[in-house]
Amino acid sequence: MTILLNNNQEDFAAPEQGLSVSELLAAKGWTFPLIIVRVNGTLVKREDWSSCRVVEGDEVEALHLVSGG
Amino acid sequence: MNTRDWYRSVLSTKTVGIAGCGGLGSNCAAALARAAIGRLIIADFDTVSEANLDRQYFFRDQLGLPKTQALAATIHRIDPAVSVVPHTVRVDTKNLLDLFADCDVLIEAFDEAAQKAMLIETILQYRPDLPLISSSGLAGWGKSDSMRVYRSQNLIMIGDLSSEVSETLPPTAGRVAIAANIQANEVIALLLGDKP
Repeated sequence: MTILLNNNQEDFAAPEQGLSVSELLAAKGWTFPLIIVRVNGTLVKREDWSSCRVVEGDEVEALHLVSGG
Repeated sequence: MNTRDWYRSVLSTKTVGIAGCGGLGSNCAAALARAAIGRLIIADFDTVSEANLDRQYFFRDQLGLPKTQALAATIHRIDPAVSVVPHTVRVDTKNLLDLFADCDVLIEAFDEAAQKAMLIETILQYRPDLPLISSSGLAGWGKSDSMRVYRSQNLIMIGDLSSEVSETLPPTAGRVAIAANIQANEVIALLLGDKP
């Protein structure tokens, strides 16, 4: 499936029902403890990462938060 | 009206919230005060310490003062016309929405990543209409051109999204102030009606 991830088009091997947010983050190798995820503009809370599905054409943003300020 | 007078008169009618008065919040507040912002709602629980003076907009004679009180005094030295609403509290999920209820823009200027996440998640969930300018990844020095601006609807994130503060990667004055001043620059553009 092709999605827009952080404004870049990316392809992922995925079944028809797409990938969960957790699977998508794992596919990218992103294991940051604090990451803000939005799918099609809506915040996906951490407890919903395994149930929220990302499918063909979705727009996903994943912003990594680190300390400092 | 010339352009300088126009932008200052527009900004003088606006309210900006600043959550956290450390390196980001104090430098950003100073820039906004110089830009003639009307009102700043500032919140922080901490006091000014010696170690803060390496990057934060405080002065030696303010050591020991609550950061909100010290910053309010500095803002008034820059421009007494700026109205400052200080809240000396730790911002949490319970008080966040009330503290910044009537802001035109909110700036996330915390130090700890967990606090940043708390604020962003709460605002995106309960106040998605409120423009939010956050920052992540500003530790160390150099790499000025790695400072990026990520735009996602009402959320603007500034930083390199990876340089985390640590023993070997301390925050330094130049890079922290770059992030803080990009935040101020984005606020000014938003308030003057530029579309993100």
